[in-house]
Amino acid sequence: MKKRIIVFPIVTMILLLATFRVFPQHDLTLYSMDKVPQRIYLNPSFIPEQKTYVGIPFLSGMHTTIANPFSYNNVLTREADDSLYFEAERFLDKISKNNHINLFTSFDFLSVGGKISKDRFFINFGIRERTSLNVYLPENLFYMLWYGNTTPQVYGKQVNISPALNASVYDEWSFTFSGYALKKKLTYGATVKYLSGRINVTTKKSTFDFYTDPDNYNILMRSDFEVQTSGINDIDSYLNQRVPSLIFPGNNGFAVDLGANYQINNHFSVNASVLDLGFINWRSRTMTLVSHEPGKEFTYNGMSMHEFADLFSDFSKFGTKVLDSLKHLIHIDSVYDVKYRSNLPARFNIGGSYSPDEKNHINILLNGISSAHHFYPALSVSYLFNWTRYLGLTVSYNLFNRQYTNFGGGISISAGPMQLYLVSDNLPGLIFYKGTNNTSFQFGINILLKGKAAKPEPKEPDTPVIPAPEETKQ
Amino acid sequence: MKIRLYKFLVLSFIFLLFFMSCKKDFEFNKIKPLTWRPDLAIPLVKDGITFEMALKETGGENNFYIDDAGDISMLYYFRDNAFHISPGDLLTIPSFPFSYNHQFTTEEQQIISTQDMNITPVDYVFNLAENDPNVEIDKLLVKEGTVVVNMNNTFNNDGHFVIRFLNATKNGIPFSHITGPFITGSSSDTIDLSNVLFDLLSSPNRITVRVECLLKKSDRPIANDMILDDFTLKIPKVGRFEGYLGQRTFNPNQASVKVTVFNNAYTLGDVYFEDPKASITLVNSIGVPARITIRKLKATNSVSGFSQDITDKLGENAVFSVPSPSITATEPVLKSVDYSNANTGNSMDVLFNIKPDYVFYQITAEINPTKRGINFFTDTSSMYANLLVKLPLYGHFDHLTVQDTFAFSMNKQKEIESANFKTNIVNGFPLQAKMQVYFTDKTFHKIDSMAGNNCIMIKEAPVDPVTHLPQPGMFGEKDTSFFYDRQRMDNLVNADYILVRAVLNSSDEGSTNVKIKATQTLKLNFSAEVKLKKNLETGKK
Repeated sequence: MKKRIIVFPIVTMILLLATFRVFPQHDLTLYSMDKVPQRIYLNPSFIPEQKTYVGIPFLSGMHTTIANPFSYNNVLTREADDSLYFEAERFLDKISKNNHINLFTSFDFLSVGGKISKDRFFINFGIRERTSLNVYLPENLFYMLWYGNTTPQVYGKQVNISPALNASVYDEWSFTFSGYALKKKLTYGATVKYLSGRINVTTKKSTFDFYTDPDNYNILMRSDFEVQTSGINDIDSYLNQRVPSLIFPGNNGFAVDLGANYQINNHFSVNASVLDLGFINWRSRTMTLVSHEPGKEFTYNGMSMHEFADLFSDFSKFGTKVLDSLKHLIHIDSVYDVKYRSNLPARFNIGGSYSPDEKNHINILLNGISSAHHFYPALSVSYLFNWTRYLGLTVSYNLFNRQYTNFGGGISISAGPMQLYLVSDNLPGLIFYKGTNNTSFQFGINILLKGKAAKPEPKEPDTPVIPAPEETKQ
Repeated sequence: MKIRLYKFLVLSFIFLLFFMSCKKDFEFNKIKPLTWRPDLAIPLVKDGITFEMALKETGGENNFYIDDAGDISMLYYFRDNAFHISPGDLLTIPSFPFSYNHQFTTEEQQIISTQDMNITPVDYVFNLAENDPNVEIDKLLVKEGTVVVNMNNTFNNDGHFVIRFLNATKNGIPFSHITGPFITGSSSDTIDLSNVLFDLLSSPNRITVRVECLLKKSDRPIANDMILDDFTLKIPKVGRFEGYLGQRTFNPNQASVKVTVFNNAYTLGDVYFEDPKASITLVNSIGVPARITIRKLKATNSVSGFSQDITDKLGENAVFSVPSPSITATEPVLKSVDYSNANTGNSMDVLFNIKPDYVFYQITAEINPTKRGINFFTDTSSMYANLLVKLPLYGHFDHLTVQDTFAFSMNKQKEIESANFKTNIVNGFPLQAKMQVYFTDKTFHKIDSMAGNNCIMIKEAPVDPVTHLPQPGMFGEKDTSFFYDRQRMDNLVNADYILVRAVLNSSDEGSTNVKIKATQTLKLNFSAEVKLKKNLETGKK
C-alpha cells in the first residue's frame, strides 16, 4: 500500500509532464508557503519546519515564469474548424512602444536540506539549472515587418528597430547555511553558489536606426551592435561535447543570497532577502558580434543605371539584388575568444507577515528584479491557511508586469512523507491562459522527514515567591 | 489514508484533463497561412550620366573627342589611309633576261686537254630605271631579288661559272656567285640577291654583271661543244632606295567613307554645328617632298538624295605641301591642314548640314614638285592621309533623336499587387528631352509604354546667352510617376525588349546655340512604392 502511495503520484506527475507546456520570476506566492522547503531559495533565512527534506531528483522543483507584452488571444484565434488564425493587426494594437518578454525557469536536479546541531542550524544543498531570458522588441520593428516601411509609424521618421536579447542558462550549485539568533527571534541565512554557465547572450548595445526619406525613398541606416555570446556559435554541435565539458564548460561564476527574518512578536514578523548577487565569467566558446563601423550612417539610394539595366534580362532577381545591397551595407564582425562577465538578474524581497493564530497568516511582499538595466517591481498580498499539517492553502493577489488581475494560489499536500506542491502567481492566467500575458507555475515533490520529536526544552524552575514579610507588630 | 489517496487522485485527474484540453491551443501546425501585405518604398536607381557616358552606352565612344577644357567634339567621320603611296608605286624594276653562249673551237679543245682555261669574261650592263628616265638610282638595297640561271651544256667538265656583280656588295663583301660544274644537258641555279647593295653612284641606274667561265683540264669539251645558258635578273622588292625619283604625279581613284556617328540614332533631325572643322593629315615616311591638291570633297545623304561639293570653296587651302623626312629620321613627317568655316567661306556648315552619310574625296599628290633633291625610301615607307572631321558639340539641335534597346525578361510576379514608380530627373544638359520608354515583344511590337500616350518631357538647364553654357547651379528638373497595377505588370511578362527613345532639342525649340561639355550631367533618381501580397505558410507541414 505504501509503495502504491509513493509510486502513483510519481506516475501521475510524469503523465502531467507529458502534457505540460512550459510557458515563458517573481515567485510571490511561494514566498509565503511555509510548508514548502524550496522557499529557502527565496529567502535563505526561511528554515523549513521539517527536520530533513529531500527533493525528488528532477521532480522537486520545476518552475517557470513568463511575462509577455501580449496574450494568446491577442495573437491567435481558434476558428470553427479548430484551425488557428494569427491576428496580426490585433497584435500590433496591443503591443506598446517598448516590449519586453521575460522568461525565468529553474529546474531542480537535486535539493536536500536538514537541521543540524540540535536543530540550531539548517544546511541545504541544491543543484539547479536556471534560465533567464529577456527579449526586447521595439514596436517599430513589428510595424515595419508587417506593414512595410511606408507605415506612418516609421515612414519619414528615424526609428530604432533593433531588438535585444539577454539570456543565460547556467547550473547553480548552492550551499545554504541558516541559523537562529536573538533567542530565535531572528533567523538568518546565506547561500553561496557556484555557477557553471552553459549559454549566454548579453546585449551591451543594440541600435539599428532606420529612416526612409519621403522625397526619394532613400534608406538611411545606422547600426551600433555589441552582443556577447557564449555557447551560441556552434550550438548545433553543443550536445556533441564530452560530458565533463557539458557539465563544466569553463564558464565559472559565483553568487550569494542573503536573507533574514525577524519575529517582532507572536503575531508580526518582517523579512528581507536579496538573491542572485553574482556574476559569471564567460570564457568558453565565446563570440562577440559587433558592428564593423559603429554609429556610422549608411545610405542605400539605389543602384547605378548600368546595374539596373543589367537586371532587365532577369527582372525577377531584382528583390534579391536590393536585399543583398542592403545587407552589404551592414557589416557585423564576429570576434572570437573574448572573455567577458555577465551579472545575474538580482532579486529583492521585503516582506511582512501577520499571524493571528497558527493556522492563518496574512503576508505582504515587495519584490523586484533587476535585469538588463531594467527594474521589474511587484507587490503581493497573500493569505495562508494551514489546515492540519498535511495541507497548506495560499491565495494571493499580485501586481506585476502592468497587470492588475493576477490572483495567485498555491497548495501543498503532504501524504505521509511525500509532499506535493503546486504554486502559481496568476491562477486565472494558468486556467484562462489565453487571456493573460503573464503567468507562473511551479511544482515539485519532496520527501519530508520530521525526525524525532524534539525534547521539550527544560523549563526554568519556578522561582519560589517569598512573601513579603509582615510588618512586625509591636 | 484512503481519503488522502482519493483526494490526491481526484486532483491529479483534474490536472490531467486540464492540460490535455489546452494542448489543442498549441498545435501551431494548424495556424492558417497568413496573408502578408507590406507596402515597401525602395530606391531603385541613383545615377548621373554625362554625355560621354551616354555615348559609351550607345556605342559611340570611338566617335568623339574631349579636350582639356571638357569641350566635346564629335568625330563625325574618321578613316585611316584615305590616300596611300607605297614604295611599289614609286619604283618598279623590270626583269632583265640575258644569255651566255659559247661554242668551243679546236684550239680551245687542245688547250683544255692540257691545262685549265679561262674564257674571256663577258659583261652585261642593265639600266634599272629603264622604265622611268627621270629616276636616278644611286644606291639600291635589294629586299627580294634573284638571278635564275638555266644551263644547257653539251659536255661535262669540273669547271664553273663566276657571276660577278661589279658594283654590288653583300655584307660589305663584293658579291659574286659560283655555278658549276658543267653537266651535259639542262640544269638550273638561282642566285639570291637579297641584302645585296648596289652602289651606283659612279654610274647611276646601271648595274654590271660579269660572267666568267673556267674550264678544268679535261678531254671535254671538244670542238663544237656548246655552252647555252640563260639568265634572268629580277628585283621585285627594294629594301632601300637612295637617288632621285623625278617629278611625278599620283592620281588615286575617288574613295568614300561612311558616316558612323550615332550607332543607334534614329534620325539626326535638324542639326547645326557651330564651327565644324575638318582636317586632313598627311603622314609621310617616304623621303620625298610632295604637293597635295584636293580635287574633290563632296558629301551626300543617300536618304534624302542631297549632295554638296565644296571643292571649289577650299581656295588656296586646297593645295598644301608635305615635306620629306630627313634621311636619318626615325619618325614620319606629319602635315595637317584644317578646314573651317573661316578658311572655306562657311562651306563646312554647308557640307554638314545635309547630314551626309557618305563623303567622297579625291586628291592628287605630286612628288618632288619643285627642286631636285635626295629621295629615299625603305620597304616600309609610305605616304597616306587621315581624314578627320571634328564637330564641336556647340550649335543648335532640333529633333536630334537617339534610341537604345535593352533585352528584358520578367517572370510573372505573383507577389506584386501594384507598383508606383517615381522618377526625379535633374537635367544639367542644355538640351530638352522628350522621352518615351517602350516594352516590346521579340518583333518589336509595342506591349506597353511607360508614359502611356504621352512623353516624359525633361526641360533643359537654363542657358547663359553669352557663354551658351548652362547657368551655374541651375538645372531642368522633372518629377514623374507611373502606376503599374497587377494587370499591367502581367502584360510585361510577354515583353522581350525595353526601347528607350529620346528626342533632343536645344534651348528655344532648337534655335539657340548651346555648348555641350563633358562635365554636364543628367542625374536620375528612380524609386518605387511596391505593394506586395504574399501567403506565409506557418506551422509544420
